Amino acid sequence: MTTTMNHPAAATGKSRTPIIERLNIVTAFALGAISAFVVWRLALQFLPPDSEVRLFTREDKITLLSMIAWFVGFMTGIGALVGPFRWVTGKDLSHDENMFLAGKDMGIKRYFRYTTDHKVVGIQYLVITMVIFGIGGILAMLIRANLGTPEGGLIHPQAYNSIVGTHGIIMIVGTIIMVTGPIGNFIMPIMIGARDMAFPRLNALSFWLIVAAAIPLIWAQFIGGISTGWSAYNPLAGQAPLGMNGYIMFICIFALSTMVAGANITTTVVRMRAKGMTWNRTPIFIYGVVASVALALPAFPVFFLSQVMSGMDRALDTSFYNTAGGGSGWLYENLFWIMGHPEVYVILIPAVAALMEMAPVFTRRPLFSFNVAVMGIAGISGLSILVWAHHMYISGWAPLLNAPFMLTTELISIPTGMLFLVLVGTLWRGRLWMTMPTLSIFALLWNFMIGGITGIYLSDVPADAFLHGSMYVTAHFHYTLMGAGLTGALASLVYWFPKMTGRMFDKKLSWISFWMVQVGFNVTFGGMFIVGLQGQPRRVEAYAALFNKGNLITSIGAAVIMSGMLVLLYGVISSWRHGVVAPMNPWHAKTLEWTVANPIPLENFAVLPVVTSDPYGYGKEKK
Amino acid sequence: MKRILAALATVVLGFGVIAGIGTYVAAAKNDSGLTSATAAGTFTAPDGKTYPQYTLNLNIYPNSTFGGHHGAGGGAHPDWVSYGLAGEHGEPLTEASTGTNFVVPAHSAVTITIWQYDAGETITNDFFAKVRGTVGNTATLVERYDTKTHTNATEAKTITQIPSDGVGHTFTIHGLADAKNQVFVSVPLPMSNGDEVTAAEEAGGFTRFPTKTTFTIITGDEGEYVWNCEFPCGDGTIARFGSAMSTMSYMSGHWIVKG
Amino acid sequence: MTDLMPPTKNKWWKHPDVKKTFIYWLILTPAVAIFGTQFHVLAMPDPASEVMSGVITLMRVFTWAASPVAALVFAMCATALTSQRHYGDNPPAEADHQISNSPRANALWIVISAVMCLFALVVGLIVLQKDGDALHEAGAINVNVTGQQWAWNYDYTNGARSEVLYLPVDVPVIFHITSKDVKHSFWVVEMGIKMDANPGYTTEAAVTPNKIGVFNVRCAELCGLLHAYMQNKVHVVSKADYEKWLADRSALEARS
Repeated sequence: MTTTMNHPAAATGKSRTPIIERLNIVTAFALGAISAFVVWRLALQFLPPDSEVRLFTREDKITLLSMIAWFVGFMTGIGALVGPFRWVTGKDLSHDENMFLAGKDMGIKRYFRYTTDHKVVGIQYLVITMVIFGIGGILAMLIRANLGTPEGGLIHPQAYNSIVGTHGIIMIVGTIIMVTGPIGNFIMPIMIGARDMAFPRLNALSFWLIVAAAIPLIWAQFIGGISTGWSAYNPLAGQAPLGMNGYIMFICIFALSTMVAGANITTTVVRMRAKGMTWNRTPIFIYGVVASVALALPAFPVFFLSQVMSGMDRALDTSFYNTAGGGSGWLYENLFWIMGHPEVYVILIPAVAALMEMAPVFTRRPLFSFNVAVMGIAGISGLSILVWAHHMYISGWAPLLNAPFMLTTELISIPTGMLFLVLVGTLWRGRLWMTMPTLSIFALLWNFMIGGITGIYLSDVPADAFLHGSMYVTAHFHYTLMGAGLTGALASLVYWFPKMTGRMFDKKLSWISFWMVQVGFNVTFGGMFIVGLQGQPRRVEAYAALFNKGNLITSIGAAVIMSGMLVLLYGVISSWRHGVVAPMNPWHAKTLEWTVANPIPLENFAVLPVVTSDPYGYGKEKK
Repeated sequence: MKRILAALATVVLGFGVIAGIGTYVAAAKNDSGLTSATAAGTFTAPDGKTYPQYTLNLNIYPNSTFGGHHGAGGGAHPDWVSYGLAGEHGEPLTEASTGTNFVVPAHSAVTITIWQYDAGETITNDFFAKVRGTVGNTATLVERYDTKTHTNATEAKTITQIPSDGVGHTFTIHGLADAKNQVFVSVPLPMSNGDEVTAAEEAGGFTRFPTKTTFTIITGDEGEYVWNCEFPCGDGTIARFGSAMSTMSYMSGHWIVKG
Repeated sequence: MTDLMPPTKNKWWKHPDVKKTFIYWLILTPAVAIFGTQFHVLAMPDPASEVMSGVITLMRVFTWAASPVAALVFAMCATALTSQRHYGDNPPAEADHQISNSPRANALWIVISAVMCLFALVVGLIVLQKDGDALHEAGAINVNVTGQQWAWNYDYTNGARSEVLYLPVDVPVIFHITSKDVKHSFWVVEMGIKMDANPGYTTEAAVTPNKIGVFNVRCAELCGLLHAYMQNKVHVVSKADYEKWLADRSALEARS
């Protein structure tokens, strides 16, 4: 096609609107729903009944096939196949078509299409992250409402188990994308002085895959839910209701999204940094984002495969994880945690790196020891692949391996300590500019310290024999993923808000929300440490009277967190709509994104910048 | 000031949404309400103590087409095995609105009669083939009860266990180990004749000669416990503990000691 | 990159911020240690075995060891917060130095973390070894533990079977744990031992109860609908009471 595409109907006089212009979120949902329905009816009709009396296998097959049909239909309907189709037929997209895909002159419609402009994708990620945290947060409040009732039992065990499992997996996905999605997509290319990412169409793909993945997860709630907790251990997952297929599809599609984003981000950073931006002059935030996706790239295919095997055990009666058939549940545990441990660093590193990026700006002095920061990030990433079986100390799988894994896990505290060093070193003799991101640095240090030390207790095998599977573990990982991770993400939101929206985030609301979330958070998970130490197991919907007080404290804290997050939500909406218009560089920071004025042009820079120094040149020279 | 009020409004609205969702979830997924045991005089235990007596009659069916608390036609899963409330002679209470959550008074004797209409096989864990936790650790079994004439077709006998290869289901009460008493009662329920059960199912009904087991429990202090069948029968799933076994109101429910 | 150079040359410890940090650190170290250990002690159940006492001691030792580190980080935060705080929409003037590295500080920090890491590892290995030895103790009684959705049952070697655990005080016991269906986790809370119950495999855990009383077993791995209710009591009694219970129970079991 060689016609101009920017102004579809008017310019060319052609009566037929090209397909590429018709595809958007509505066609995606429509085509996905129709495909799912058609395949469902066909499968119901033509799939042969199973040879023995097996109640779930045929239904599993039907469910999985329908969900796969949904996925294919949705991705076709959003336009993911346009590029590959053109390439296969030998007629690649024209410049005008690429401009159209990049959302040139399209106004708000570009957010509802397969738009390749990284700034659009960044905003799309921001919105979906907020939706994910909203739903996950509501589920958390339901959990706490149940557990806050003396002895629990407010919500039916079946519904409760599904709420817990869905809350877990949704929050894991939300925390994985919370910094790398919005900030990694919107800000990162500008920060390295590029016009867009290396593979703009893959960028759009990574976002729309998440939307496609969400539907099977929602669908799952209506066909029995996810009754296994977010880790979906087999063999329990093998006897779970049909909703388990929704989990399997969700993970498989999300894994694709992560892998695509990982390839994109890595290539962009390695190949497209501005002239003069050597690795020594690359901002530490970039290192964080790259390390995070570089970890995800090997880890998520393993997760993908573990779920494929789980689906096969259910629908095709294989025995990968079924001891009676020659398999082993330990296989699942190993595969899951080989992903599961690196994944928590996928979550943590961008958030900490973002705060390391903000620290010099808000202390007006150089980042302390850039090299140690890089070593810390690299060390954590490398070691994180070697520690997974500390989640399996008590599984009985390989008692002889407990000691080596204890060693590697303890070792990870060394590079983690380096990150602390960089942060406190940057606070040393700085001129503190008190803003919400500044406060977030202190909150991170407090929360991560507690999270880290409680992690040391857990890494010790004899102590883990008491603590494993109790609420202590839940409190520990919330301190690290939420206390450190979410704190970094919220600070990133407020810090980069002016560049992403052109307006300042309302200062008062950011402070109020910060204090509510942080105080509420410490009350919540402090209470949870108490009941864990007292002996309350995880994932229970009712408990002995002994745990009443601790659970009440936790639930009250949770309500405070929720209030703080609602204030934040209001802040986002009101600041976006009528906040103070932001100057080009409100924080007087030195990274490249602050050299571009809002509204940011489609291709970011009129002239690509040349970099001559690292962005940490604060402070006065000694006379 | 306006911002603060608007922020406050967002918080209130947010909690409203949560409360709404929460109420829906708490109510919607609750299995059928509560059935109280029926008062029936007094009971003298072998050790001489007397207790107020209550009775509870239950049936176990090979599928849910009896209706009862699942609704006409058996509800969402008519082919799942299920407990259900029974009348005096083991007849299905098709209009029953509650089915598997029982409320019994504290410090009383509760006599439970279970008609077991399903077939059976060898139990996976023969710990549960023994009668445990009842008065005298015994139960009274009628291997063939005539549901048409309401009489015992075979003699009633006292049992302490049943053969492990002929178990239909169990009725096992257990609960939160707490400062209160730990409760554990487990009674195995023998299978009814397999051929008769199959023939009756094909004809769209249930066997005429189910087994009938009667036992008495002395309840302790107030507390909330659960009961479930400990002989898995959820075909097609791992260890057969899926489907009916993993869904409340089929083969599990609440056992509430109150009042 | 300039080295750390205070106003008074080569006497970096005389910088006012260093003094401040040191004082905060002196106050915070015991505060953190005492808060941390008290938190644990108040919440954790009274130990009913050496293993559990070991866990409590281990956590206390780690808390004391970690406190100076945590206190240092918190002290430096406190120094920053109490030195120069600037509010407003414009940034304050830039700092009066350009310190971007300190090889000495880096080296010290890394060496100390490595030492603490090694310390934690060694202490952990010592306790681990001791617990491992318990699996081979002479004179131990053996109990088979079967986890099934959603109740535990116990088999003793003389044929006794029970849904509650009866154990004699001061006698080592080795549990042989398995599951009939999905993964469970056998957690004897006050004795500090836990081991997963896997279908198709038998795993082991050993402990010597050293206190008479009633304790709890809770399932610690989500195993389905009624996981929360998969709990029972453990009665630790004198050897004589145990023998009597064992005999009564096996007689009950033998009855047909």
